[in-house]
Amino acid sequence: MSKNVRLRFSVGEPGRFISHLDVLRLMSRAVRRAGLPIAYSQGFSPTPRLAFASSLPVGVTSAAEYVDLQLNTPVEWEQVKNRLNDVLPDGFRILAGAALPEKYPPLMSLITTARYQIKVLGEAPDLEKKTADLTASGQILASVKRKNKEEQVDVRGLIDSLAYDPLQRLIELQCASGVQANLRPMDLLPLLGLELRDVLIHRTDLLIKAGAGRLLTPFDV
Amino acid sequence: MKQELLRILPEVSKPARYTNQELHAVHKDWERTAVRMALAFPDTYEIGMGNLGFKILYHIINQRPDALAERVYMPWVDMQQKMKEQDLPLTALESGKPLADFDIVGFTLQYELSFSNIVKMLDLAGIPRLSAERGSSDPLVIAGGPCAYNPEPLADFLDCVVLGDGEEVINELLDLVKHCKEQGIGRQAALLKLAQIPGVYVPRFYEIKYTDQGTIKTILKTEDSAPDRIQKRVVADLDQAPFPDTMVVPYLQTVHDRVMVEVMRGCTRGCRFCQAGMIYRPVRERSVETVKKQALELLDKTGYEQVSLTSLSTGDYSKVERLVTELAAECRMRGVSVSLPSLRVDSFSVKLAEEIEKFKKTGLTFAPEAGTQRLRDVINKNVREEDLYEAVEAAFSSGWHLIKLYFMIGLPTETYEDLDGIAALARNVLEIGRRSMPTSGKRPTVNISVASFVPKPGTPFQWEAFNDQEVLLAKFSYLRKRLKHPGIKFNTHDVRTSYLEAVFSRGDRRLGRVLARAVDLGCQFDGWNEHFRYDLWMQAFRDACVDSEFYAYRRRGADEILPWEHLLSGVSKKFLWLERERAYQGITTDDCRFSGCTGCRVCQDLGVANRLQGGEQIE
Repeated sequence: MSKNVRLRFSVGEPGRFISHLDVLRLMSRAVRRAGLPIAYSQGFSPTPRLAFASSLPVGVTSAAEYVDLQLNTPVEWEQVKNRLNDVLPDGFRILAGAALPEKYPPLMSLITTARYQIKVLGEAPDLEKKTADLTASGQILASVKRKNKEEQVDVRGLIDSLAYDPLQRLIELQCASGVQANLRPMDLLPLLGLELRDVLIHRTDLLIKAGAGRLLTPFDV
Repeated sequence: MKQELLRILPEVSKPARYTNQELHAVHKDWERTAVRMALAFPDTYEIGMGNLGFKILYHIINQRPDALAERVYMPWVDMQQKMKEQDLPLTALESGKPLADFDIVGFTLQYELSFSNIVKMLDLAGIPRLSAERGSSDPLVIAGGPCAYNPEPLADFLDCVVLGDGEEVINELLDLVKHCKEQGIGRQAALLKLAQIPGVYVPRFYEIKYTDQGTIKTILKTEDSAPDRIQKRVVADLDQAPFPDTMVVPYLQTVHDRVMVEVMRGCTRGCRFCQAGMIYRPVRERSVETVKKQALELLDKTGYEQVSLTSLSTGDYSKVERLVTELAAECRMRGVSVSLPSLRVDSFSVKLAEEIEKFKKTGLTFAPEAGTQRLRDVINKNVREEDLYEAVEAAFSSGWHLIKLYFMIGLPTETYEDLDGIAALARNVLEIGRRSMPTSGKRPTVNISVASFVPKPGTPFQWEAFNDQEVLLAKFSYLRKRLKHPGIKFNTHDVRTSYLEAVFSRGDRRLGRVLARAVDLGCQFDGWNEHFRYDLWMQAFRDACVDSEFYAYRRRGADEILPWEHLLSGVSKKFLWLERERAYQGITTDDCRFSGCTGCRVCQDLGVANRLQGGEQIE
């Protein structure tokens, strides 16, 4: 048993429609409802010690969100998982967990990579060719919102792989995600002739690039 | 959730406003529930979710096996646009059913500037705007809340209006609607039956005749069986009144996003401008035990990090010290904080605030309302200058560095001396801060918020004129010059929105045409600066041939028949007029909790009494 627990959770309907700040508040309240012995930060306004791996863009579902909890007394991670699942609202589900050592680096600083599946709902001609052309080009200029300003940015270096599976009507994307470099999958849509309403974006993995092209999950580190 | 809705949600701002599925939202079997009511809040989800009255009604209705209540809020403009494109009607959150499918749509009348949103919501729902146009398949459109004491501008749009405490009347109303539905009783006959329920006002059974001068000549009953006058309903014992044992926890942050427990209802301080202080009489307190029990149960079920002890003036709760001390102790162990939304102007209140905010001392707010003792006596705001100075001295020396002060301008008998008084108070408070705060660290700041006084129905100032807009603007700029001072911040309210509020708060049925026209022209969200369109409103008045100044700027005579003459809050008109006269003489009136009866007639005429937990009540 450990005082520190790492949990993987999913975000579905309607949880995908709220901001990262709302998820933070929602998780703190769930922890309190579950009666878990959460530790609080010291200071003027004590806040529960929860740390998230990344922020999920609004509108995106996920099977791979992570949160680290610091408790005052050790609790088995399975118990933390079950007690939270009893009190979480629709759209949030704890899927797995692991005990953490006494000291560990903040998860947010480790994450480098995310995988997405983009389900295409409506008509989308030539997606196989369009994705292939994009990955073949040396430069991909995407319109990205930064500080409320639209900017043209070359995102080629942020994309590891991009392909379309016509049978499942799925775009598979692996790209940079994290504090150093980050790509919002929706920023690629206009380049593929798609609109937000034409797709459902789902994050399948949140990963850490180790040496020699190896990818680790947050439970491996 | 509907597939069409799901597809447009990623393209609108704050989509979680429309998703439903929040924790503790109640989903009932639509087909098997006899009476279905939509609780409609004519503002955004974030604003509406903070309303305690809504939570109480939601709880009471959903507790009935034969009834369901669902929530609906005004969609933001981007969502309205998408709904129009996709041809989607306004739907309730829980079931996603169109508003038009409910038996009852109940609006809350919280402020006049939301009236346009009510009409707009009916439009979005595809429900005929006018009561007279609705047929047997349309829902009953009802309303309640503080503006129900003069709902006349909305009279043509509403089928009935409920006066007073909703928990008293809601079950009788649902029983009757259920009965009428089962028996196949037609709309007109059902409304006649509804008019028999005490506290229920059916506007269509009253006809208003006007004089050549435009004032009201008579208010005529058109149905014999309708009551001559409608008197508000009142919960006699708040401690026994139903209160939610759980609250919907929203996905996104809303206003008052915390546990709210109502510690008391009503206020008898008797401020002469204050509508809430008149219409919610008498004072009824919950016991410390009940409040604590409700607070802790709600905290357990919601996981909220804060609990707010609400009322019109929680510092006046007779057991406030015991309650705050005991509750704060329980809450500290759970990592939960306690908040008091309204503080009295005295050092006792600062001590209370100190009790709950040992560490985080952001700002403290006080409302002296007027700048001189003379004017505070006129409005019966029984705060002395010394009280304020003592309070702020206590606050500054206990570590607060920001003091917010609320004032009104345009009050009856106001002169520029009273404005000088506001400036002097502000500077003195800042001076006290500089004297009593440690020299190192944060510097004291004083925020002065000034609003224009709007005369409200049911108050001693209901006959008064709203100050001319030009005069108010001149007063604001006069104040701004005198408050230009490092350490003092000065905020004002838009004079034009106050003007519209003044027109509608004491308006009559002739404003219904203006309202309809304004909504046609595109007016909505009038309480939101970025959407308020004064130019379109003025055009609506012109198009409907209605003179807005008649309603705002005119001082009413003692004998004039007021549009709300037939709607009674229990405070007698004679008492209100007497209070008005005392105002002009500068004579204050005591709080009946601490002195004798002041003769407002509420207790005698409604068969109720102040119910205090401290037992200080004087017969």
